[in-house]
Amino acid sequence: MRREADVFACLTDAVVAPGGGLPPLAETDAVAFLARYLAASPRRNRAGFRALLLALEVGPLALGFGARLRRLAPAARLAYLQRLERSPAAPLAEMLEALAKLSYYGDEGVMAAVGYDPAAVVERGRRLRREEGRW
Amino acid sequence: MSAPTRPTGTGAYTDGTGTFHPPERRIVRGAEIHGERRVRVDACVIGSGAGGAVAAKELAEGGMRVAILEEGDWHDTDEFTARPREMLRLLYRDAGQVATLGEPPIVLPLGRAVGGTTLVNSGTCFRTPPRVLARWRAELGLEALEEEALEPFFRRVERILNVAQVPSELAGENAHVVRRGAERLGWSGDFLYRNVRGCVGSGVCAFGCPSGAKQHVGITYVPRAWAAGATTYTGARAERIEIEHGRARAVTARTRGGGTLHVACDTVIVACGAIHTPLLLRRQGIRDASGQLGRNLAIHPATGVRAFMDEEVDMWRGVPQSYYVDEFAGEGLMFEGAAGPPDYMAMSMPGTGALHRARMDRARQLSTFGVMVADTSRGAVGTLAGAPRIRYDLDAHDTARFRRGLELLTELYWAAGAREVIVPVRGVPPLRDGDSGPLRRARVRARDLELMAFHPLGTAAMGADPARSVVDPNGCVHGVRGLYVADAAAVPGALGVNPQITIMTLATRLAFHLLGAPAPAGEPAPERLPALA
Repeated sequence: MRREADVFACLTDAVVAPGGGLPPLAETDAVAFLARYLAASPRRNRAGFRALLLALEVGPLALGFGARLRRLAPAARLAYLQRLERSPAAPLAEMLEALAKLSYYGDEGVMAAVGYDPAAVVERGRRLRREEGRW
Repeated sequence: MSAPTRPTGTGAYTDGTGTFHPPERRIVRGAEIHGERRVRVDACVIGSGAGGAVAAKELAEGGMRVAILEEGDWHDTDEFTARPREMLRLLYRDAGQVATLGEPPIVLPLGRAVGGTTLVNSGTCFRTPPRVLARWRAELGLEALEEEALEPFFRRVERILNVAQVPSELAGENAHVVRRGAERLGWSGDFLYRNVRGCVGSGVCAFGCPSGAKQHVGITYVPRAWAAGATTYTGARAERIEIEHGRARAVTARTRGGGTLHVACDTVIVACGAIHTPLLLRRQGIRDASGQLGRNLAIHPATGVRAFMDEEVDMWRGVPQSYYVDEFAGEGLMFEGAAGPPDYMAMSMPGTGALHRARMDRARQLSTFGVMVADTSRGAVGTLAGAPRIRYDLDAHDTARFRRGLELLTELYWAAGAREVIVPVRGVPPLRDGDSGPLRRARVRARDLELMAFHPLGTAAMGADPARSVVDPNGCVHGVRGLYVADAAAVPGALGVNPQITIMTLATRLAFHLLGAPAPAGEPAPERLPALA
């Protein structure tokens, strides 16, 4: 799982390109989320995700990029992903990219940087439920 | 004497008092059933979503002893964190990974919990459109499904769910952007009606309402079923329906604790949803003369158009699905809100690297609205290596309607003042400065569309003719006494609107039929409801 997590970190970093006011990937729980997500997935999907991540890692070799994903320069990683998006594998590539985006932007620090405060939403709901006897 | 009326305006929408609580929560956790447990009831209801919960409550209040089997768990509102990323894992079947195989692949999120998908839907309420009922009567022999005959059942469902209209001040800026565009074009639209009580616009309806405002069936119908003596078995997956001499006699479920639950009964109501109901029925070896069991799958495929505005939209504030445009409903095109917190937005935002970040940097100016198609395409549900396999290909007619829907929604956004519009068609660049030319000139194939779907329907379709349908006009499986379907599977085709009210109304009607009771009298008439264009 360590290898898959490393590939996912590499993918996520390339896809969301942290910067500006957004925290670096290492300061988020995006990669840790992958393990939780896979644990909640059906066994067949879990195996599929792992296989896809490993295929993503070696894909650049088959497409002439000269190195595995994790050893590519950032610009080459992006070029590789954009090429996948134009290929028949686009739905699969976009599924992994969507998971990367969800993982990163669901981090507490990232949500706060974007301007969303889930804790306040929950607290307001809790108060209303207490005051009005809601479920 | 005329029936009383029920308010459907702002007061009804925002008043959070009056929640029904049963004397006890009659839940038995399947995780705690390790050996064999046997119970005897009058009716066993499999599934606690829009169909099952409603049937269970009505039957229990009618005097039947009822057991509800639910594969998922009961979730207290305290578990809802307003964080979509985490709620996907908790509340959705397969962590939200259910998808169709075909062209294009389509994600089909389904709830798995007490309350079923009503726990995670947008809470939008429409009655079955009259033109759809007319078609069913003409084509399927469903003569009894007249608007007047269904009226008391609709009213009963809407009263229990507290269906009321979203007030403008809670609708969120996303809705106001679209409303402005629709009004400038003279298109029909309005704020939606939803099943809520005391909504404050938390913005996360699809991820568990943290204020307990959304009146999903897990906190409306199921508690009333408990109060009438029904028991819910969670973590209990129905495996076998015993049929003796053409009559359903019992259900056996596997529990999460590794045990079995045997429910002896005279009536079995299957309500596992349009994906799992046909699979469960097929496993029983039921002879289906029509060959339609598991086929005829409609899903209301949908997608979203994104637009960057000058103003701050903050899509996570207010009701995510609060406005609709029905100007083109007659063509099978419905436009409805699609909004949510940043992770939900980011997940579906096209682009990688700096492009994606640049778009997310403008997240506060982003507006998204959905187009939903009343599909003519049909899919099928089967199994592959023991797991559900959903096959669905978008046909040319629906592909053309998506193209039209995207063009119309783009036009609406230009009218609303959008600077940039992103359409979910591979190969079409972002549209700018009011120019829809790249979309109009594009060749749009099914495979080019990025779609989702939320309303699987029709895989155990209702009809009068056993040669063309799976269940009869009351929901009884043709040829098997005591075995009924009361969920989206029985809805015979696409509605063009969100289906929860249709499913619940048909389930209520079935329950009254089983009880031998006349249609409910004295149900209050809603002050106002949407009338589709």
